Amino acid sequence: MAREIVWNYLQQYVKTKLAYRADFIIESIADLLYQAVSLAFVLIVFTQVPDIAGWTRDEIIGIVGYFMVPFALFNCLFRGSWYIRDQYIVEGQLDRVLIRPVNPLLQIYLEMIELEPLSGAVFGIALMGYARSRLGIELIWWEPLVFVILVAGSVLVYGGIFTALAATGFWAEGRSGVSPLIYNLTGYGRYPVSIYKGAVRWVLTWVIPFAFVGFYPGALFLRHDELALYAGLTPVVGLVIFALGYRYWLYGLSRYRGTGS
Amino acid sequence: MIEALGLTKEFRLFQRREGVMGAIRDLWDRDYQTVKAVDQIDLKVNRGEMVGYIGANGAGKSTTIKMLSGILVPSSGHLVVNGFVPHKERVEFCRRIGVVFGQRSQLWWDLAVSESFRLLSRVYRIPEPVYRQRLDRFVELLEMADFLHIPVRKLSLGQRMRCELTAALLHHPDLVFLDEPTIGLDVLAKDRIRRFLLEINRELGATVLLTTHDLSDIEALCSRVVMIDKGKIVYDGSLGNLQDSFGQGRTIKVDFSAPVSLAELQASFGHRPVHWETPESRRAIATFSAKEVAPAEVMKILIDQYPVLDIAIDATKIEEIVKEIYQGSVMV
Repeated sequence: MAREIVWNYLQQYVKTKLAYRADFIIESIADLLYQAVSLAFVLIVFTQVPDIAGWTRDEIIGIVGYFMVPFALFNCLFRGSWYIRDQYIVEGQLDRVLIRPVNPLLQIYLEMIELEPLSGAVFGIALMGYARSRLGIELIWWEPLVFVILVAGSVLVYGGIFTALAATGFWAEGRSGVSPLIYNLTGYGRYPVSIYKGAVRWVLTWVIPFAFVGFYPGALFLRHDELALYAGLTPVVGLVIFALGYRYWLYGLSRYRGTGS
Repeated sequence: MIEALGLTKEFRLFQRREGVMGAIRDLWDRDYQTVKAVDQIDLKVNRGEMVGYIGANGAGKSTTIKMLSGILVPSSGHLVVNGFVPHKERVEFCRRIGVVFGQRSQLWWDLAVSESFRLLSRVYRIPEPVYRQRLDRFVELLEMADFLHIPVRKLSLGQRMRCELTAALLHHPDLVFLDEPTIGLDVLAKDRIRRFLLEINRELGATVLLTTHDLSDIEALCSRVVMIDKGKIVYDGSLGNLQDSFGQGRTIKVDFSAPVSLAELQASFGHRPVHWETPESRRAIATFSAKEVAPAEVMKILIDQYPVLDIAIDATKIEEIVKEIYQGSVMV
């Protein structure tokens, strides 16, 4: 049943999107450019050094490529988390969501879905393919399946963290927030955590586990089997983080006070 | 249908200090003030009733409606609506209620009206033929055929409100909350919406709780009025009785054939609490409460003792009572 609702929302969404076709194309290109710039930065660094903490240029490209996939899916599916504080809590649109017989968080995320970022996922997969062919890695039959599972785990890590951050909007009275700060941290997940010093690495693994949205699972597809255990933990970390984020959201929701009028 | 006992909602308001130093102090030492938006109200509404819920801005109307519709979690008190505790069993509860917030759209801004309705029919799991039949009926009753294909954001307020009502009623809810459904509409549009609500209430037997600033909405629709002031229910009964309770003021305007002095009039009425004014030498205006002095007695004294030419008597109108209540000038 929930599946049918999701499908219906999506249908409607695509219909409105197609009404603004030019916007759609321009935004997709802008998104792609953003990804290209961050990749160019990596390539420039490698014109100066042969490797970073033992990781070669091609390996870094492969990890950045993996990172782009869950990152794109997150921006597509969980884009609503950016708008929860201002549009839903402060402006009171949550009232409308709360009187419909569908999970409120699901409604918000469905309403706010954005398809443009998906171009980044395509780009990311292409980068992984490029890196793997340069490194002479052949495709194994189970890899696509594992890829889907790990990407899902990575997306949930993001989704959980940003759902929790959005829920802080139930307390904070102003419009400022820590979200942009944390969002900037997400970039750290796309480089090998071994280049960071002890404390930072520990935080990125166990506190704000952004290493699970890029480095650990990405390394698996570059045959860094010494990190396979961490890579395998990705879905577990994703589920745990998302469950915690969702609980925190529910707790915040019970404190929702609406707006005047 | 609705059963609330000792229902209370408290808000903690953060008191900002003034100035830069104050803002810095606010960082660690916050001053809160607790406000009771709704204070220990008891409310029972039976199935099929249409109840008008009135009160000044900030009296607690919206907060009550939001608790009853499951949007806000009560601070304390017992609340069962349509067999559910609204905020606890939200999804199932929402399936059987309809809500219109006049000030805020329930529809999807970018979707065409008909697409919004279709999406809602899926959300509420209305079977296709039933949906078609209901929609046709609403389109006919509310004359919506002309703008079904237009995106919601392009509708006029009156058109949008008709769509909001349809959206809230398509699933034939047991209970409907209408928060200012006629706000900002012209007389014709208001009338159309009232006739529609009456028709629907008769057809579906839905319970309706209505808040409004327009008393004619209540006169047209509601047999019962509940009034809230400063978070407490101050009146619960029929509209007519509201007048009896608060509308006892009378004004008598008298024209005399010869000049009459103020002192003379005051002397004739002695200890009776009648307030006199004499704007002209041959005209006087008396104001008093019908509870304290019988209007007939005032008229008799006037006619017996003075050269009366003409008498006009006015009772305070319900509109005025409510206006006074809204302005907070009636002590309740």
